Amino acid sequence: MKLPDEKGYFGPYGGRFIPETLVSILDELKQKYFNIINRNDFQKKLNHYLRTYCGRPTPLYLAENVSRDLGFKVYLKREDLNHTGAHKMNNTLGQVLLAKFMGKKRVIAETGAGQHGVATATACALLNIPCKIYMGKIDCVRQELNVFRMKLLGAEVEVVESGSQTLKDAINETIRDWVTNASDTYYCLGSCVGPDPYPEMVRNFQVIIGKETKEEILKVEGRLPDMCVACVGGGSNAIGLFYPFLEDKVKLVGVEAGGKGKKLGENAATISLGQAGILHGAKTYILQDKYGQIIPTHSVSAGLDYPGVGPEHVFLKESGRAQYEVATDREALEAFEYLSKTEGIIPALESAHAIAYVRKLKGKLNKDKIVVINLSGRGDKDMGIVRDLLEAKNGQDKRKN
Amino acid sequence: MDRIREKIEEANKNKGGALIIYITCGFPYKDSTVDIVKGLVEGGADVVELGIPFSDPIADGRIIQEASQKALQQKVNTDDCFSTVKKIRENKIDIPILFMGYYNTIFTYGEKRFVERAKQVGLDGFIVPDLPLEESKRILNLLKNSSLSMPFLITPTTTEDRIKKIVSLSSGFIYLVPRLGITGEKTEDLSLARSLVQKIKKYTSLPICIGFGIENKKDVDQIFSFCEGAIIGSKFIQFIEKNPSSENARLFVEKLLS
Repeated sequence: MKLPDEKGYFGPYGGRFIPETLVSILDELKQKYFNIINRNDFQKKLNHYLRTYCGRPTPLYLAENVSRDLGFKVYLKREDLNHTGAHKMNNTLGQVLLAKFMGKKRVIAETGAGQHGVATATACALLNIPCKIYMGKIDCVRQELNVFRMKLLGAEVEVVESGSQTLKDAINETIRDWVTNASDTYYCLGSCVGPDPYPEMVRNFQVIIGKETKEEILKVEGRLPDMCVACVGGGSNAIGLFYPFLEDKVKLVGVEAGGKGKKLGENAATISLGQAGILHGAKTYILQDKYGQIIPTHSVSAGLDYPGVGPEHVFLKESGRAQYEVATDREALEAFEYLSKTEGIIPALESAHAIAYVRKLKGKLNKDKIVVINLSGRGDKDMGIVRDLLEAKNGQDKRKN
Repeated sequence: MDRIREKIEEANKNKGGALIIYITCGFPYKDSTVDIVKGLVEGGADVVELGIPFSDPIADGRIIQEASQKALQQKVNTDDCFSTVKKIRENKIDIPILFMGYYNTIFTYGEKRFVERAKQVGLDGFIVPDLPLEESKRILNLLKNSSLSMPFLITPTTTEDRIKKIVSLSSGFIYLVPRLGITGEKTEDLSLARSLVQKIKKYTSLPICIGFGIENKKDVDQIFSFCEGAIIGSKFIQFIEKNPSSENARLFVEKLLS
């Protein structure tokens, strides 16, 4: 079965819950997207940039030391080696090129931690189109260097002071800009969330992760993996990895941000702890109070710190095709140090959540099992926050001793 | 019986147009709303639009967002909005009242429960700015055989095909947005709205009311010259914040209709 259906639904999730002004804009986007995406000149150009600019295909690395430690085979899909340091670039190159093909004059985007903002600003610099990035005021303070990076790349950065001043409010503000300037402006959304056709479009641009993984694992192992694991905030790196395996006998595990605990507001584990609702144009799971007000979330990883999730993941969860687990801030931080010391690879805090889950499987899988982890990004951006957290922790340990 | 439509048509007969005022429920204080509505009626407003506060109002500009935020900080919830309407009715104020609420607040409350409660308290309808007609079937079915109206929005990007569908599903009035964008930014030019009104009139006899960026008497007079009603929100919120009395609300409306 091919999903989403023509109205943008994955089972009961997805759809379009948006102001009237955007309906015809999204109709146009959808129609042009399907038209342009199949054109040879578009495909050729996108593949060219993915290969020569972004560094694809990314390696699938057999993590020897981790495998020895955990007692089963662990492969890392090295999305961290993409230009700008994460899988985000697959999507922004695709969408910004689409914007160019559509004849749009301006690109807008939201960003939480700044990774999608940087990836959008990069693609816009490459393809020579002006861009404006909306970022919550609190995130701007937390990720000051990414603000500088975006400006260096030529983007205009708009500080969002409304609401909780984080990612969800940056999305709200980008939508407001879009409603106002829809005719010449392209909204480059950063994850597989939002109104139809975004969840499908973003997935299709990220599917390259899973396709390469499948091809490579068949080449080196002669068989499919037993399990694919990825972290889930909005869920784009996870859906990109999972999608080509949906029809196969491969276990799929998404790992959400468990934050400090299970109480509302202490985490960003939307699928594990949220309920059905409507946010940013789609019916999906969200973290909300009993009157439907969106709750501010928490995660040590800014990229997972979002109160919604892609509708396709909710569908995969409810249909039983994928399973969703939680890793806490502490577990993610430990996994961050673990991979750095064990393999010499510093993962993004987001990706560290996926590693944290796989570490829990030690002793539970036999030695010929194969697990693929999507190493969606690298940890350079997290140096500051991790240093502060580790110093605080070491200080506490010293006091205890 | 469509009380909203009747009231708008009556206002058009008596004074050449209907004035609809928007106020966020529970703004600026949790108990301000009944007095404000009383004043609006005394001043001559024809319909009141009562906003259910929402954390993420994507169709609204800064002023209504902040009003929503302020109400939420005082823990105003959907049940409070319903009891406010009930209180207004207990005060013998029978002006038609619409809710304006984002879909998640309705969905989470339960659509059926929401509609039942709306009937109980004497609400006359609601506007859901992020529920396009494609997603509105369930709620429209619940409204059948009730006196609740549901105006849909038409904007400059709405195609002619959609206009036909929207007018056939709307009741109360047609909410026309005169430009692209969100609430609270001044609409400088109403000529686009004028041509849209002509287009819409081909397909419906429902009254057409214009909202988004409508600020003063001049705007209202101009709107009354080519359609049935004007909707003012952000400007009123700014005005009423410092002194949310009945008296002040009355003055605001009187000035617009003088």
